[in-house]
Amino acid sequence: MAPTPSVTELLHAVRAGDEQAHEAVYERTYEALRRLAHGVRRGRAGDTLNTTALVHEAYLKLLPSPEAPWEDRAHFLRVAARAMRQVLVDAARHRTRLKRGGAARAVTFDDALHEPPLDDRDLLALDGALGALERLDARAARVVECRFFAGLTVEETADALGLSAPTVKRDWRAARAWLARELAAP
Amino acid sequence: MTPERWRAVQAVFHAAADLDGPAREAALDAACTGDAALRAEAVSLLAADAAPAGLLDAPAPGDGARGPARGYGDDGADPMTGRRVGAYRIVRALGHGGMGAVYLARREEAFEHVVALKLARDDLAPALRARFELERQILADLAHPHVARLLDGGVTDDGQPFLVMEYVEGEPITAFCDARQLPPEARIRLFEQVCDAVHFAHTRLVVHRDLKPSNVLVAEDAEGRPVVKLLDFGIARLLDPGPGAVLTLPDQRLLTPAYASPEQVRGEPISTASDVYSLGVVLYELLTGRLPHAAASARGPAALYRSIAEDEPVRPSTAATRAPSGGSGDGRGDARPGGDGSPATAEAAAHARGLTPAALRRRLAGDVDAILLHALRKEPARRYASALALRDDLARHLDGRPVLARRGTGRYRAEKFVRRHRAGVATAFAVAALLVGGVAFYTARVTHERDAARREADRAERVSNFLTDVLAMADPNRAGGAVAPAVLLDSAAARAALLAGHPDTEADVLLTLAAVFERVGQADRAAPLFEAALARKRRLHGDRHLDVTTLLVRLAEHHANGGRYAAAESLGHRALVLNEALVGPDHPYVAQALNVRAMGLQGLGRLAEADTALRRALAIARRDSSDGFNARSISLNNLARLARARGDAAATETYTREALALRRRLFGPEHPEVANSLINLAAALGRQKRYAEAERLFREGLAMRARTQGPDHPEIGVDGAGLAGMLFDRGDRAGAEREWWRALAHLRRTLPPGAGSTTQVLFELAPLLASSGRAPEAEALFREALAGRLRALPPGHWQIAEAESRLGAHLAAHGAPAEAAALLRAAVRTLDATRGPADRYARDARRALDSLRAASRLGDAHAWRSRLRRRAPRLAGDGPSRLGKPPRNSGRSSRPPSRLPPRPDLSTFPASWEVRADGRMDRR
Repeated sequence: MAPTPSVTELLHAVRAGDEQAHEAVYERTYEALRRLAHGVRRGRAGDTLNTTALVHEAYLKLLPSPEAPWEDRAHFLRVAARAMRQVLVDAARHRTRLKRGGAARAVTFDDALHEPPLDDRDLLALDGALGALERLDARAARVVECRFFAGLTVEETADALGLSAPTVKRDWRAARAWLARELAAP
Repeated sequence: MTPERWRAVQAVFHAAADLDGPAREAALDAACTGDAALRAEAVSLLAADAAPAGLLDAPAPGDGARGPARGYGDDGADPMTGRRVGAYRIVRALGHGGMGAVYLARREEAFEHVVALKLARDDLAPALRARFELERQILADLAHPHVARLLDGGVTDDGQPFLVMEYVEGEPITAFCDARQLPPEARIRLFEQVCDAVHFAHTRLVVHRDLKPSNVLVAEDAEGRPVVKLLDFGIARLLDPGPGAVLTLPDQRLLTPAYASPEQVRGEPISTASDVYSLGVVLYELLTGRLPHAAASARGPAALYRSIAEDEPVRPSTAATRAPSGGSGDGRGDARPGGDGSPATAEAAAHARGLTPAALRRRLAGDVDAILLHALRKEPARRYASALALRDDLARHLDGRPVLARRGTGRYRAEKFVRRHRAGVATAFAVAALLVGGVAFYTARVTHERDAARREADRAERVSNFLTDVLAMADPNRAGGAVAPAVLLDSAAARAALLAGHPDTEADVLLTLAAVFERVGQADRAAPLFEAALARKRRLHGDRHLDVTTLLVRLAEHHANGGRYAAAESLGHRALVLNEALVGPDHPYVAQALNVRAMGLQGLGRLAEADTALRRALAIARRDSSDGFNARSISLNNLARLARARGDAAATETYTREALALRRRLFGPEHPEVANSLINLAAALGRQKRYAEAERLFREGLAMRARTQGPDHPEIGVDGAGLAGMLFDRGDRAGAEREWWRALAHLRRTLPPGAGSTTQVLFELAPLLASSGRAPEAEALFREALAGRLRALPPGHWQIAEAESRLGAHLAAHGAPAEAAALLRAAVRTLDATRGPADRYARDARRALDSLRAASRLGDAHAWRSRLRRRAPRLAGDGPSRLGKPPRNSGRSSRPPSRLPPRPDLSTFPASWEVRADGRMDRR
């Protein structure tokens, strides 16, 4: 085996119960998404500027075999949603740091992740609220990650989390209301 | 709250969420059973459910968990809000402009995007509908980091056309720069991004036509660097009511006059040069704070048009110290310079650039004056040849190098592009060579038709200009890379309509484009262009005209290439009769018609008649001392090909040798044409199993090609593959593999990804590897071939299906039945639709599928595997050429035949190459 195991191999190890492998998958995915996002920002032609595309591109990059077992795909999407959230949050933190003290509010137009137009402070607030939700209802928080941060469809989210589509819809709706209320609170 | 409590709240929430009014109240009461705190919690959650959730709604889950457009109620002012348009739900209005209203919308289905959705004005509907179909793919493919993409479009249920574009947040470039008091250097650097984006679109032959600050938005990236994004590329053309009407009828005025070019104001054809002009205006405003014709615009639109058309613009350095005369004054909001960024005084303008008026004047005097005035020339041809040329000159200025604008540049000449193309080989090379051949052809003909010299010269000029534009875009050395030929051609074909009103020129361009389509493997698209060209020539001249017979010959040749031999024969016959009447029985024109008719005859199996026709053609050519049509070597090659078809190896060799001798005499010992003949002869000898001689001649031909055409010429790879095929025939598998790899490496290096020649070599090498037990390597090549075709061809093209079929067959034989079945099924679908169920690849794919199905029914994994493995090499490696050539001689089926168009194989090579009407493509 090559010194660096492939993500496919890592996922295989995860299925066999290797916790470290799980972390390794996360790190690889995070890195891939970060690079992809950065690549888009740096102006590589032909890239679609949205997180859905980034996640799918990362998938193709990390799991090149078209015949990957669906468990691998599901696992990957689950991890990618979490990683995408982290990438977005890190980027927002980075920008907020840069902008601190500046007159201009962070213009969120560019940055690969600009679609939809995200406001950094809103994003960071959401991340915080999601952390609180996570303690109440981890499953709903995962659904939000998949739906909001990775842009997965209901069906993809259901696959990724091993849930039914109606469950995903219900979780999303309740989580959205809960988060909206949290974020609206002064 | 605890998780348990949350679960309870959720249960209540879901019980009541889909209900209203009393029903909801009742449900809440029932679910809470007197727990007031629980009820309050649920009610507050339900309130949040009904309200906008800001950020969370942005990516807008389109699963219907929430009611349509719920949460956007406060934007209800516009009646469109919440309405569904195509696959999109309108969120809120973004603005209203001349073309219609723009909305923020989101996609409801699979891909959840926030988009800008433009609803066109009702009166634009007919124009838009027609044009949209024509251009949507071109625009949808316009993927560039600085270009907002057109994503979709269609017609609403009410019949109102709409366009969907990437949603961009940013400020107009002028406002952005003024707000940050950017100095001229920073403004120019930012403007370079604009030039890049515009040039990129131009390489796809998309002209913006409405460049202005409000279409050039700027935002900052994570590091605070400004990033440009251009809006509405190509949209103006979609909405253009038609040539000549652009700016002449006030009601139909869609463009922004202040930034329009003189040709737009005059209603003349618009080209990439029009965008270069508008770029000049935007940069002018960016640097001086004024518009070049600001003074005139104050006197009203009519004065502005006249000024744009006639007056030299004020020098930027002078403008910088003049009091601005305020907006362009045509009463349209978006026509005002820089939106709200228009400075009130010269001091304000200078201050916004961190300078005093005098300092700004000094800063702009010289280089910047020259560059802007060069971009703003009245005559399109005298401006910068491209947006990139403008950008380069700006870069020179910033670097302190001498700028071209101050050296009094002349017009770009086609020859320059040609030379650059020769160096920078690409598939575009083929296109360029053909196009330039066209120019030379037309120019040469001018001397023959003296009475029409004036008109012809004008026409040659038009063709030359058109082709020069196309070439400029195809230049692979340019930033943004060479244009994919398919895209280039699609656009050029659409663009040819600009020449309407000059039917002669238009016909010539159509003819040239048809030839290019043929050349790049899209022969099916050439026929309508040939027909259109023929119709125009007929209308102009009637039947009895050499232009018409020349086209008949070309069309006949086209049909012969497509295997429609009866049509080829009959058109060739008509051209023959007409030419005999027009120029007498012994004229080279007659020889051309004879040559093409012989192709048809040969295809129909009437070999004796074909032989007679070709011998007569050769006799005519021999009497023609100048042989201006190169008919002698064409006829010789055709005779060689015919001899080959009759299995007469000796005659084949004789004719080929005579052609070689003739070319040596005509071109000298060292010439690409001689190299062609050497390789033809090598192939002829290879077929006689005289392998040693054949190999020597192959290598001699290859070496001559490298000497005369440069070591990076793609033909070297093509002929190298021919050598590989010969080695394979000889049984030298190792040698064949080596040469195929070498050819492949050469073609990958010298041609753009996805080039047809590269794909052909992949299809030759892959089966060899597969049959040597190297299935994974073979699979990679099959995949590369498929990827190449997907890249180079329009979706649904049968050659994509062919590649799918080959890969599918390979995978079926090598243990990937699921993907194999998917590929094969897709291939069958496409082939049935495009080529009919009788098509060879469709049948092969079906057979492979049947085997897969049978195997899965029987549950016998080994059976299908071994069955398919036996079949796969043939399926994957054998087959008719993509040009529809007849299969090779019998007894050679074990060898994967070459399908490279220029393979040195007289029998399989389409005779078309030898009978080009104008004698310019007469290789082989």
